[in-house]
Amino acid sequence: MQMKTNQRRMLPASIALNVFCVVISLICIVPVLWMYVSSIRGNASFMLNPIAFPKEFVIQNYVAASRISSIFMAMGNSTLYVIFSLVLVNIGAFITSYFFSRYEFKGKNFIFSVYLAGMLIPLYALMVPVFVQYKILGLLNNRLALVITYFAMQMPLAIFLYRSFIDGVPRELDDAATIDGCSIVQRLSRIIFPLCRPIIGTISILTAISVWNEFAFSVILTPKTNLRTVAVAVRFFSSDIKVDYTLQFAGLCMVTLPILLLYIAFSKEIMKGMISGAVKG
Amino acid sequence: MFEYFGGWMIPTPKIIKEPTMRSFESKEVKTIYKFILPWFILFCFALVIPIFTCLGISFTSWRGGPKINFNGIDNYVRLVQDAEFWNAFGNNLELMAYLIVGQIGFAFVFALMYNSKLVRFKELHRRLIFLPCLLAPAVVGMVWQLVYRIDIGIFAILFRSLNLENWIIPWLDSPKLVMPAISIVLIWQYVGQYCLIIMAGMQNINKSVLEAAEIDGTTAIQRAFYIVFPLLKSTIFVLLMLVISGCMKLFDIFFIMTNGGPGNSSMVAVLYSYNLAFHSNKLGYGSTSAIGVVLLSFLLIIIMKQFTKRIADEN
Amino acid sequence: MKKLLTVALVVMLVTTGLFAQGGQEKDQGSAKKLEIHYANFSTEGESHFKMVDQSIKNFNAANPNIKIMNDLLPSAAYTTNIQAVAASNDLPQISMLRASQAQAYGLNGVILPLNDLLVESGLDARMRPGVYKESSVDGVIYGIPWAIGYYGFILYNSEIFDEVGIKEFPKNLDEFKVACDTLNAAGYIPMALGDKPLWPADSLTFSAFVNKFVGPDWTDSIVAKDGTASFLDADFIAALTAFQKLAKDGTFNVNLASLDHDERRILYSSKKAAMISAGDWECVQITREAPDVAAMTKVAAWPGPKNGAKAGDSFENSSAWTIALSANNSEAETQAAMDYLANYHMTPEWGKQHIEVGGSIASWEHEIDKTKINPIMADVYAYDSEPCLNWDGVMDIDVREVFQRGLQSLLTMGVTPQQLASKMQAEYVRALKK
Repeated sequence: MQMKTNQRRMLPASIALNVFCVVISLICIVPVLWMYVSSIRGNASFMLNPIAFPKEFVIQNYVAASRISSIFMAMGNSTLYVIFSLVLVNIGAFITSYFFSRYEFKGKNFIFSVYLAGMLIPLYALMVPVFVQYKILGLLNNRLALVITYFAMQMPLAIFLYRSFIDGVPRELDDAATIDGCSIVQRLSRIIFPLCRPIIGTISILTAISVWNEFAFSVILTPKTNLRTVAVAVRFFSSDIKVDYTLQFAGLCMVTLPILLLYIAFSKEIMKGMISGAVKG
Repeated sequence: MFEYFGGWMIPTPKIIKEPTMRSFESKEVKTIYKFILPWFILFCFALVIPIFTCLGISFTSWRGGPKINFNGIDNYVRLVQDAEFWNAFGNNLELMAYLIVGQIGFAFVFALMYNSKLVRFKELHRRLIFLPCLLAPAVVGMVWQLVYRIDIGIFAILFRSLNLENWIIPWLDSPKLVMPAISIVLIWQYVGQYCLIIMAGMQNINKSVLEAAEIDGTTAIQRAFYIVFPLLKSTIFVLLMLVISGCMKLFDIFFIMTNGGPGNSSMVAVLYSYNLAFHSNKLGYGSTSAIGVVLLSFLLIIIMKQFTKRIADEN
Repeated sequence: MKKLLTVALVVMLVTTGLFAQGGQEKDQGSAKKLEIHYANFSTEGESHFKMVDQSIKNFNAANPNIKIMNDLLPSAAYTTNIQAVAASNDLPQISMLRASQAQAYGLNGVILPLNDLLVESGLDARMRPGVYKESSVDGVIYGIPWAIGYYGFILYNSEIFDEVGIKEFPKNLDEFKVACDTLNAAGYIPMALGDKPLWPADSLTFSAFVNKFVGPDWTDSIVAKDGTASFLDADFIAALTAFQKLAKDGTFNVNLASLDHDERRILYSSKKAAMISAGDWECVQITREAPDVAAMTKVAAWPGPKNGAKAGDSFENSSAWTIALSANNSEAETQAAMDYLANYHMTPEWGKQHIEVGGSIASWEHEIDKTKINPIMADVYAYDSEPCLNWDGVMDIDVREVFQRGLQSLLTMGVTPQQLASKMQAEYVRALKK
C-alpha cells in the first residue's frame, strides 16, 4: 500500500518530468526534421508556409542539388579523406602507443609531451601558418596536405586511448609471443592489434565524424573544385537568381544522410566513442 | 580519470606498471625509434612546425607576394593596441560564460532527469539529444540561420501564430543579441554530448549513499546539489577544460552564420585571424594575431588549472 | 547486419565519388589539347551566361587544339573561393576579379600586368576611355574591366507611392524621412537593404549617398592620397551621421545585416519594400522576376542635405568587375586567353547583347540600340545625373575593410559616426605611409 501512495504522490512530478524530457528531445530534433521535411517541398509553398506538412513530393530539389557543386564528387572526396585518415591514425597511434605502453626509453617523455601539447594547442588558431607552410612547399590543392592535417588533429587523442587500452592487455601475451619466436612486427600485427578491436572501432568512428564534418582546413587547403569536401560543397547551394531555400535544404539533407544512417545503425558505439574521446581530453 | 577498457568505463588508479623489458641497449632503442619516428616526424611536420613558421612570419609584414619585410616587434605592439582583436577576445570570453552555464549547466540538469526513475523512454531521449553533435558545422550553421529568420524562421512562425508579433526579433542582426543567439546554437549542438559524459560519471557514484539519503527524507533536488554535484567534481573539471579550450577554437559556426557581423559584434579570435590573412591578405599581422590566440588559450587553461587545483585542495 | 550496412555505405560513396570524378575528366582525351579555365559567376540564369557560354563554345569550335572550360560558381561562393585560390597562387588562367582585388593581386604578383597584351591584341583600341581607373595601380593595368556599371540609383515602386499619397519623390533628406514615415505607417518597408556580404551598403548605397555631402573633389583627393582630405572632415562625419539616422528612423528592414543583396531585391519584387538603392544588373532581374513591379518602377537619385549640398544628383559610374590573367600562365595559355577575350568575348556583337540582356554598357565599343535597352535602365541613362566614384572599387584595400565593416556597425548602432571616422582615418594614415 505504501508504494502505491508514494507513486500517486509522485504522479504530477512524473508527468512534469516526462513532458519536460519530451520537449527537450523535440527541440533537439526539430531543426533537423524541418530540414528534411522542407527539402521535399517546392520553394513557393515553403515561402508561404514554412512550417507545414508537404502536400507535394518535389524530387526536383534533390535532382537539382545533385547537379550543383558536384555534390557526389564532394562526397567521394570526403570518403577518401576519411579512409586515408582512418588508416593512418589507427596504425600510427597503435604502433606509437604500444611502445609507449610496454617500454621505457630515452626521449619517451619528450615525445609524449609533444603529443600532449598537440592536444592543448588549438590547431584552428594555426590556420594561417599551416596554410603558409603548404603554400611554400607547393602542397596546396593537394590531397596530401589535408590528410596530414587530419592525421595530426586526431593523433594525440588516439594515442591516449590506445595506450590506456594496451596497458590493460596482459604482458603474458607479449612474453608468449616472443618465446614462440615472433618478431616485433609479427607480435604487433598478429597478436596485439586484433585485440584492440574496440579501440579501433572508437577511433575510427571519432575520426570519420571529425573528418567528414571538417570545414575550416578543407576551405583553405584545398579550394580547388575537384578536391572539395562535403562540408564545403554544402555552402555552394545558394543560387543567385532564384533564392531557393528548399533546394538548400535538399543539399544539406544529402550531406547529412550518411552520418545519420551510421548513427541509426551504430548509435551505441558512436555515443560511447564520443564520450570516451571527450573524457580523455 | 576514466578509462575505456573492453567496452566499459572504469576509473583507474594511477599506478605505473612495471615494464617487462627495459631498453638500454642502443640496438633495441634504434628499433623502437624505427617504428615510432616516422609517425612522430609526420606529426611534428603537421602541427609543430607551423607554430614556428607562424612565429617567424609574425615578425614580418608579408602580404603574400614576393616581398617580405621584417618588422621587428611592430606587429606585436600593434596587436596589443588593436581594439578589434580585444573585442574579438572579449566575444570569446562572453561565449565561454554562456557555454559554461548552458552546456555544462543544462547537461547536469538533463543528466539528473535521465537518471530519475520517473522518466520513461530514457534510451530514446538520450539518443535524440545526442544527435545534433554529429552534424557538420556547415549544416548546423545554415539550418539555424534559417531558423532565426524573421520571415520564414521557426521562431517567427511560432510567435506569429501565438499572436506574439512583437516577440519576433532579428536575432542575428542585433549587436547585443547575436552572441547569445549563436550560444544557443552551440548549446543545442553539444548539450547531448556533455550530458552523456556526466551520466557516465554519475554511474560511478555509490548507489547506497543516495539510497541512504533518500531514506533520510531528502528531496531529489537536495540530493542533487549536496551529494551528486560534489562527487562529480572531477568530471565537471574535465568538462570545464573542454569548454574553455573549445571556445577559443571556434570558427566554423561564426564563419557560416554571421561572418563576424553585424559589424564586429560576433567576431571571434580565430575568425579575426582568418579575415586578416585571407580577406585583407595581411599574412604577417594575421600570424601575429594567431600567436596571440594561442598564448591567450594557454593562459586561460593555466588559470583554469590553478582554479581547479585550489578547489580540489580545499577538499 | 550492421557491418553489411557500413560496408555498403562506404562502397556506395566511394564509387559515386570516383565515378563522378571520372566523368568530369572524361573529355581530357588528347594530351595535346591546351586546357584553359575561365572562372566566373555567370551561372545559368545570370544575364551574361549566354555571352560567356556561347563565346567559349565558338572559340573552342574554331580552335580544335585548345579547350576553354567554363568554371562557374554562384557569386557569394565564387568570392570565397577565388580568395582562397588566389591566396594559394592557384588562380585559373582566366578569372573574374573585383577591380580592387585585381589591384591587390597585381601588387602581389599573382596576376599579369596587361598593358602590352591589351595593345598587341588590338583590344585596347576598342576599349572605352577611362575604364582602367579602378583596376590599375600607377598606370599598370591588372584587370580588363567588363562593363561600365551604374550603381547607387534609387528604384521606387510608383504604385506604392501613389497608394500612400506621396506625390513627388523627396528632394532632400527631410522630405525623405517624412516619406519613409508614411510608408512605415502603411506597413511597407521603405527601402530594402541586404548587407550580409558587406559591400552592398557601400557600393550600392553609400557611395552615391555621400557625394552630396562631400563633393567629388574631396573623394578624388582621398583616392589620390594627396593628404588634403581627411575622414575626420566635418562633411564626411555629417554624411555618416545622416546615414545612421536613416537606419534609426526605420528606413531599412531590421534584418539588413543577415540578408544578402539578392534577398533584398526579392523584397522589392514582391512588393514588401517600396524602394531599393540598386545596381544596373538588377533592373533586368527585376523585370524578369516581377514584370508588374518593373512596369511601375521609376528612377530617382539619393536626396541630400536640405542646404549646402556639394553635388547634384549622383550615380556611381564604376567598372567594378574585371578579367585577369594568372601569372602562372604559360606563353601559349596567355596568347590563347587574349585571343579568346579580344576576338570572341569582347566583340561588338556580344557588347550589344551585354546591354540588351544584361542591362549595362560593356567596357568595349559597341552599338547601343536605344529601343532594345531595358526600360528601367533607359530611364537611368536618361536621368540627368553626375558621375561619382564607387568606394568599393577605388578605396585603399585596408581602409575599405575597416569602412565596410564599420558601415554595417554604423547601421546597426554598433558604432558612432565619430568612432568610425577615427578608425578609418587611422587606417588611412597607415596606408599613406606605405
